Amino acid sequence: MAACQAVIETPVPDPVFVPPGPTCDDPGHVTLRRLNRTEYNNSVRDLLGDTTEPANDFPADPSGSFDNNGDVLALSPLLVESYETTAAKVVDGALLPPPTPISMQLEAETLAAAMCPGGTEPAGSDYTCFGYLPTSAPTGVAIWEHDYYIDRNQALPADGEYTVTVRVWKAGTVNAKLAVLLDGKPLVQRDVSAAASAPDLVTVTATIPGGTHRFQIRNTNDARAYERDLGVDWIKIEGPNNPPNPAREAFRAQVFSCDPAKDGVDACAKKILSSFARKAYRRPVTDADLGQLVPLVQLAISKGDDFQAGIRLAMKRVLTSAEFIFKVELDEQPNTPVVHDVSDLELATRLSYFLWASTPDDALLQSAESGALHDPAELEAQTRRMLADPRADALVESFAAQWLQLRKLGPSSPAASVFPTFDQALKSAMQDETTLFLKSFVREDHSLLELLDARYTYLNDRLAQHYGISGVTGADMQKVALTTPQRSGILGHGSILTLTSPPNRTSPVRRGNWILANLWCEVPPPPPPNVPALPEGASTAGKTLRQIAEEHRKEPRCAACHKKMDPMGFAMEHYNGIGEYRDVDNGQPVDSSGVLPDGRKFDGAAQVAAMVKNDPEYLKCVSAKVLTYSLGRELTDSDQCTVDQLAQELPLKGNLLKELAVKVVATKQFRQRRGVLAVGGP
Amino acid sequence: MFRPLNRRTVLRGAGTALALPFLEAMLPRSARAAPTKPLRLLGWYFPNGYYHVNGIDDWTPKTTGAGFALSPILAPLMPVASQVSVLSGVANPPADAANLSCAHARGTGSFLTCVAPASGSSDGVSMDQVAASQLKAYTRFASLELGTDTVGGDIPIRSTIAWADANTPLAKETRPAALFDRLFAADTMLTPAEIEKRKAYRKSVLDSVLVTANDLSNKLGKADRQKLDGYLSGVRDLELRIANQGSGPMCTPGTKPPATGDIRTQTKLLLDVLALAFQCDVTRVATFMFDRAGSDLAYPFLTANGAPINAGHHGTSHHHGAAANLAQLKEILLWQTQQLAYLLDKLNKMDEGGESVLYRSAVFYSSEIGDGDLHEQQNLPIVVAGSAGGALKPGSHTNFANKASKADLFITLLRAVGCTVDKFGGDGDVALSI
Repeated sequence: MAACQAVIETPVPDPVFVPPGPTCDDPGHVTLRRLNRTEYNNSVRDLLGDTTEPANDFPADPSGSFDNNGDVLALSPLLVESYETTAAKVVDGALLPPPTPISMQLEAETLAAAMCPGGTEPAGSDYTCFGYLPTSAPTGVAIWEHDYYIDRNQALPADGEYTVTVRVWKAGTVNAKLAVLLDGKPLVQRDVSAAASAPDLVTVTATIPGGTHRFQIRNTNDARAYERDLGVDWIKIEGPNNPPNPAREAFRAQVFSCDPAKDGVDACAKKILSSFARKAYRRPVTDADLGQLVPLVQLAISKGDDFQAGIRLAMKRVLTSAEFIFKVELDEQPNTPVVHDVSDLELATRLSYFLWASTPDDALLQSAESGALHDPAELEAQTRRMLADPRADALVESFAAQWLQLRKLGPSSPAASVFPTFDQALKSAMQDETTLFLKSFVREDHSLLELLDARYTYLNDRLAQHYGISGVTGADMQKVALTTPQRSGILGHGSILTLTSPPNRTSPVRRGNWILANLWCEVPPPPPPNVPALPEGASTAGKTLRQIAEEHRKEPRCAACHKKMDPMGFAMEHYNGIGEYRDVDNGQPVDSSGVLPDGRKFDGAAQVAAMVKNDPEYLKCVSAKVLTYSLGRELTDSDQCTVDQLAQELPLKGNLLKELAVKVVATKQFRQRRGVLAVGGP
Repeated sequence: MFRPLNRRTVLRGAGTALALPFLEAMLPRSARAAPTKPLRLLGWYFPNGYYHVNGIDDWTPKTTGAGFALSPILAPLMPVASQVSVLSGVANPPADAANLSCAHARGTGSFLTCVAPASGSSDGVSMDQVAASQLKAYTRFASLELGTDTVGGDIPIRSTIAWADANTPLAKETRPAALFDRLFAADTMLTPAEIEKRKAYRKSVLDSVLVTANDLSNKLGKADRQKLDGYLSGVRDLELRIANQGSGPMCTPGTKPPATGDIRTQTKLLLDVLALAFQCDVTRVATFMFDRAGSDLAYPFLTANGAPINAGHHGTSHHHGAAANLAQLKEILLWQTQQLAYLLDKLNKMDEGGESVLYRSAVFYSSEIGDGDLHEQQNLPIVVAGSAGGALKPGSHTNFANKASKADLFITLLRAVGCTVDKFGGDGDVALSI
């Protein structure tokens, strides 16, 4: 049952501004957009060379058709807090000098004494001070009860590999059981049989993030024996033992390109921060900008920190600022619908977040700064240059993955009891197949029509086996030529077939809906409320899903939409809920034939695919999706003629995605904007 | 009329160093007379409603009045029954007035706002935020927004129940460990001087970004400025929080929860941290949203008629009266009640000067619709728990025969926790007697 998941809200038209007829003169208003998680990650990557995707820890983005839609991208206090803490994290991560390793030997009796001031435990603590007793040889404590522990919060200077060693012995008559825990999770567990005269050194190495962590030494012997004490002498924490990172050092050297002692603090700070802020703000830096940044460097120095710490503080400020977080576009008359070109710098930002989902590079900024970018030839040249750059893969990871709802594969969870062969490895391979397939449309010259019937795909051994295709070996994904239409095109991809299925079966309705909504841009309304139950005595035994649904569809209120959705979905019934091919469902042969209300007939997924791609709605739909994504707003009626025009010109250019992107960039909608007549005053 | 000073205004005007204690004049009138012990408000959302069909209803208690018998689905609340009221026959008409095709989206958007959402990303002020705006002077966090959905990618009215204003849905924290860190983490290894320095740095950065953002705001049109407003108020909130760090009541929060991918553990741990946040008076207002509108989660860890529940919840919630569907829904709803019971029990066992934290709270527990097949905005499933320090008299079941509006109930709850409110949402104008 489609859970009105696919409902796209009808765009709310401007209450006052009426576009002047069907001439496509209205470029529309793009609401001030903040960076979404992908764009934040990519921008930080391109600014700091840091690829740890810090925004994955941000609260999830809401989304319209796409998650770069300014109208839905709200900014909550939680997110502002994330920006502030993340700015500090990524700047320090990229620019802090390599950490000085620590080596801390913490004596057990000191830990116990700190936990039990005056021999008693603080109120609310979950341990008892009777749980560990002083021992004489060696000097330490005996943890004598099951699950009793001593612990210590220890600050670690940086992310990295640490060595943790404890010196322990059997202080009772039976073996003790040792567990060393990091933040509540066991690092190592060991039976301890060494005598007090020759204690055991238990050593473990672990990768631990910087910051404060709780180290715990626990006796886990739950035997009902009294003499099971764990003797502890000390715990030693050493590290980080990080290998040198030449790329990071090179980046630091590149950033700190001047010497404050020689060049002067202010001059050097201005030089470094101008270069950084220009890229982060996507525009030349002004004196006013530096007036906000340089004092932070001075502040740090006045508080006893060094120049580099001051630069880092100012950079944190840059990454916390509205001008980094938002893609700012200004109107001279923001509260009137006067149409104007966006500035060259705004155009550069639109272009780079469209094609790269990231910040403009130096070449693009230079083009904009020189005032050349709005020239159609220059704009096209920059677009083609950027499409050829590996960063254009964002068109797949961000645009296409959302267009085709590929992001829904991750959370889908086929039921193990129904599909025992499904596991994470298979899901990853499905994801990779579709991603690589889509990338071939960006990296190579394939017609968008091939999306539906390409005679190639990308498989590894696991996925090939799942599809019943022989001759593919190894866990790496590889391009495979297909000899039958069974897996030709996106409709045969396990990813799409799985993400449109509930956990335990197929859903022809969802599949039909997926095709209509994403490939023809027809979004059926959600089902009416109170759909009546199946007729009394109706039994599902021995019937295929199709037979059950056909009975159900006799209800006239449902028929109108389902007459279109269901036949397309049922044509896919040769694929089960995880995309395996089958000829039999519930004991009966699969019937994949169907007919649309307008009389078009088909049998099976390949014929549906052929019908979909030969319908003019398909290229219109792709054009509309690309335009929507490029603008970061939902389309309105006044955009329709632009969509029609894009779709008309597309075949002349071989139906190539990159040609579509070039055309989209040249549209009025992309190059212009207008304000909004403010209702009730500005 | 006397207008209370805005705390932010004061801070901005006075520049830097004004920290707690605050001036009484900054507090809303109702809060000034506030008791020394806190009152809390929690809004809790579960998806897809319940079922009442062909005389089958495992949610609604069969008897009304005090000492009513809990229904099968609400049975887990038995240990805290004296602190629990069930309200049936409450309606939320504004939700159906929305011009949005999806009933789950309408109902979720309107869940705590009781207005007709204007679009997928435009709603009203939610009742928790009405409380937060009046109670925030007391705590480090004005409110907490918790949820289990880590996926996102949905329109705001389907994925958010807390709205600071019509255009500002409040994002949810879904990770128990991150939430714990946010509330309780203190860098114990820093010296007081280092902590003060760090605070000064953060404050300088935030002061500076406010200056430029205010400049920018002046150049924007009305529509764009609304977006920037979310940023501006977020920065100001953060400044306040940093200034207040280290002040206020201290308590021992215990151990940081581990990371988890299991929704059962995730839910339990989030509720643990929430209970701590109430106990430690880190905040007095919170929302908890289980998954999202029209949730299609499976519950393979539950069984109905001997088989694991592998079907998606939304699909099953369109039960058509079929016994197999109802059996699954009953188990899912029962599990949801168990989560509520877990939290209530925890709050009930937390002592606060002879009263329990639960006694000093008002908890609203409900779903975006009534019957899952009917997609109705009446017969809403509602549990109200806690006594709000004596303002509420729990322990009964009342049937309002769909003549009571949810917005009126929210007026009752808001006043119970010491907030001033005249009207609420689209149709709330008089407190509901419960």
